[in-house]
Amino acid sequence: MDKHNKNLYYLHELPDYTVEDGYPDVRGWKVHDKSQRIIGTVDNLLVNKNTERVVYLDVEVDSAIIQANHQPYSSSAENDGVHEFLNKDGENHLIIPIGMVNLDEDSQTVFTDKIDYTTFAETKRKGKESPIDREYEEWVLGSYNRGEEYTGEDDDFYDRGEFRRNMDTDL
Amino acid sequence: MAEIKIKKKAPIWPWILGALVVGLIVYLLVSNDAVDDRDNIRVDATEEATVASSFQEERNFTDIDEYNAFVADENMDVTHEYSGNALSKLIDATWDAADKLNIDVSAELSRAEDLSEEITTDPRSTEHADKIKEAGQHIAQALKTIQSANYPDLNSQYMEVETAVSNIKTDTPTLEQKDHVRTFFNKAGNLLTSIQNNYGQAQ
Repeated sequence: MDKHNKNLYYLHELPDYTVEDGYPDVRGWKVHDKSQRIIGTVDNLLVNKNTERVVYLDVEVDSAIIQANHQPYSSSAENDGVHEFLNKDGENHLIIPIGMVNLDEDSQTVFTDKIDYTTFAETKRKGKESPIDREYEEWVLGSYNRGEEYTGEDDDFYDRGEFRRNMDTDL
Repeated sequence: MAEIKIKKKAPIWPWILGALVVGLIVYLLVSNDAVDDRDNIRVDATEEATVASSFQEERNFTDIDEYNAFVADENMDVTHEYSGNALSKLIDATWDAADKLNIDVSAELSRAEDLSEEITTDPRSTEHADKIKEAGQHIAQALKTIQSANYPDLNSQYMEVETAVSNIKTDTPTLEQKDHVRTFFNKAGNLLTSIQNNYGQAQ
């Protein structure tokens, strides 16, 4: 697989695709953390073209998250203090696996009961519509599930619980 | 936990193609109607022209006009040749009126034609007055049939024709009763002219 995961697309990169009937288009919905604090707004959807489903919500985080100025979490010691691993100016987006959130269509709200505010603040961010590579995905998943190791190739990577509706039963 | 699926959009080009096809069909239907309308107008105009032409033709009593022109010339002497030609033209004019009114007077006119021919082929015959009178009687009978069938109001004009015929004397040479002969021709012409003028208003 290329460095940039080209099975993963922003939905707007696929003009022939749209959200399937019966599923909500959550772009523009507010995202709440485990404590019901708003951490940002869904800006885009990252989809796996092969499986034709959304695998990440691309969230533009609130400025409060950025101002917290936490160093991104990494399970790998070799990343500690590495300059490239720090959040840079303009990197105000992060991704959330679809299987780690719930959707409230009445209030048009995305919320999670698995990720708290600090965890979001400590998660490596990216720029708007930046290409997503597998390394970044592993960093993000490692941040949300501390202590877990995430590796994988191809589309099997998205078979894990964080990307599926019945995440709880798989964990 | 959440799940959002995506799907490939239904291609829009079949809808565009369908819309174009429907548009084309509508256009063809509308344009065909317009062409048909134009054709119908042309056909109607042609039919009207044909009917008008036919009506004009039907109103055109050529033989009657020709006869009236012939007998109107007062300078022509009432000779045997003149009488023969006048009878011949009067018979044609009566045929003309009978044909247009679809009335069968062939028996009377055929006999008149025979007599007219005899006068023309034998101009020296002493029986010309007889033959002119007899031919006139057959022609008058044909005119009576035409007049009574369609124009009862012209009965008085017919009576003038009948009187004029009866005034021709069989025992007097034609050259000695030119006025009676000319009167007959004129009265017959008057009746035919009235029939011509009232054509299309058959009563």
